[in-house]
Amino acid sequence: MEAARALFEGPVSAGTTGRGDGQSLLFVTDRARLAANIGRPATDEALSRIPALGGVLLEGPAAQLFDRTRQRVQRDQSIAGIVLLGGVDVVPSRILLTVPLNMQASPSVQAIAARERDRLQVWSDDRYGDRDDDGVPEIAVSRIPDGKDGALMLRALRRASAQPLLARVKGIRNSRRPFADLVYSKLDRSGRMLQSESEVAGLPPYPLQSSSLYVMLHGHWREGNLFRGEDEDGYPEAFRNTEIPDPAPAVVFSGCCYGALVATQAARDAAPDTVHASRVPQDSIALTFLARGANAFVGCTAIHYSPDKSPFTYLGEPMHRYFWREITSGQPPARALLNAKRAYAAGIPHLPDSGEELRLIEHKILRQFTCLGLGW
Amino acid sequence: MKPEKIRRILQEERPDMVEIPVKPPKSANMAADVDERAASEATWAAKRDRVTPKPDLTEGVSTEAINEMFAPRELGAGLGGADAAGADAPAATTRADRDDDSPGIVRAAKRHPKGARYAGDAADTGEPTESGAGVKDFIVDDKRGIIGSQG
Repeated sequence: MEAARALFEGPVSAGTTGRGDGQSLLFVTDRARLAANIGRPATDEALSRIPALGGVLLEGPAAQLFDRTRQRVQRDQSIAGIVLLGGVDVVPSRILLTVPLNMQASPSVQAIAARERDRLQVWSDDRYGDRDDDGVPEIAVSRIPDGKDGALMLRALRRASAQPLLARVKGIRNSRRPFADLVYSKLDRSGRMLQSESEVAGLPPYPLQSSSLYVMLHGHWREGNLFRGEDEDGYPEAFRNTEIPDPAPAVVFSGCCYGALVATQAARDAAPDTVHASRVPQDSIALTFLARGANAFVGCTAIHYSPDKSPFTYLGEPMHRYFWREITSGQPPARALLNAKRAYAAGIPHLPDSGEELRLIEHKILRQFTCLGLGW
Repeated sequence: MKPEKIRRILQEERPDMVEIPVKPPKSANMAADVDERAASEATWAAKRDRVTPKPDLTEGVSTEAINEMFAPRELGAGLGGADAAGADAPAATTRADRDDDSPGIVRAAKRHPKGARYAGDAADTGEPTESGAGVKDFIVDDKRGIIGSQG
């Protein structure tokens, strides 16, 4: 416990890259499409900052970026992280069916996928970091969506501030997500999560000023600019993008459905091999956090599931806990997520004696979490 | 699990919710309209062992201490995963006698009055719709009851 106490007194530095000597970040973009979204001056300024971030640039036509990136990382072992610059209309994301290959033939699995509202399909950028083409990334991938806002891009291309990421943690959850309290208690032993229920007149806004923020609320792709709580009558607003402080928390982890959705469409509604429209800060909580200075917004691109029965250590909970464990150990957010995914995958299914539904949902949770922002 | 049982569990545990009938498409069409398919958890697990060990970046606090701090013991149990942090935790209660080999999923929306402050999970008539923001799916297990939900 002494170690834990010391931990939260400040040794974890947001400026730590965690990449190790001689390793670099690979920034990937389609310059022309990025310029079409944020203008030529902002594009030139953004790309000029890459060397100072310890990065190298890979650019080309959007349709070729996936293959070119894979070829580059296969021959360059020094690349520790990939940062996609732009929305999904600039650097395409991938539509992934999260049902593992060895389960796809099962009729019952197909029936579950057919009835699931997101069809178990998610947007995923992980494959950019899959050096050996086995479906599992070796390299952490993050994305800075441009949001058609040059100021967002330029602000996001900065390392997190020097303040400790966990110096001032806050959390907010809906009243039916008590499991989040147990994750949060490991970050802030003296505090408690805010609860988004309509018990206090005049709220929101909630005080969101913090160095790191943990959010466990309801989200929906149709209303990306707000998250909701839950009470016995319905789903009251918890907060919306206009209430995000500036400067925003450096790291935000969200277990909200569609919280990190960059495309305007859910994956189930999008067609592969086409150009997809991207969100702007006005219709995205995540992009607003980035526009106001967040280094990373980690969240979901489809529907999230939470555990409802004690001991609550299945469905989304292990991913949340593993991510914060990695942040606590000093990993930058992009790598913290990749490490959390590896730990999470190894534990599927996290609830013994459970059926195919839970295993399928946990595979979806594994694949849909993504890191927006620089993340390093 | 029989639909009647799923409905009864929903009514018992979440009386604030009302079931919504689901009409899934005839086919999941899983083979089409995606860029890629997912690898198994075994592939992930194999990769986990091959990656370069991460450096311990936290000054003065060991990786072991952090793992201890984030172990799931306070949550009540260890649950069969391969995560080393939870490996020595007591086993969770498991079902010995299931009447089916799978939990079910039920879709439901709040029983609530219309109001602008709430999610659009009801049509103008007040009837719940299948795709609104307030519609949630619940995973129902025949012995444990509702074990998980969307959001």
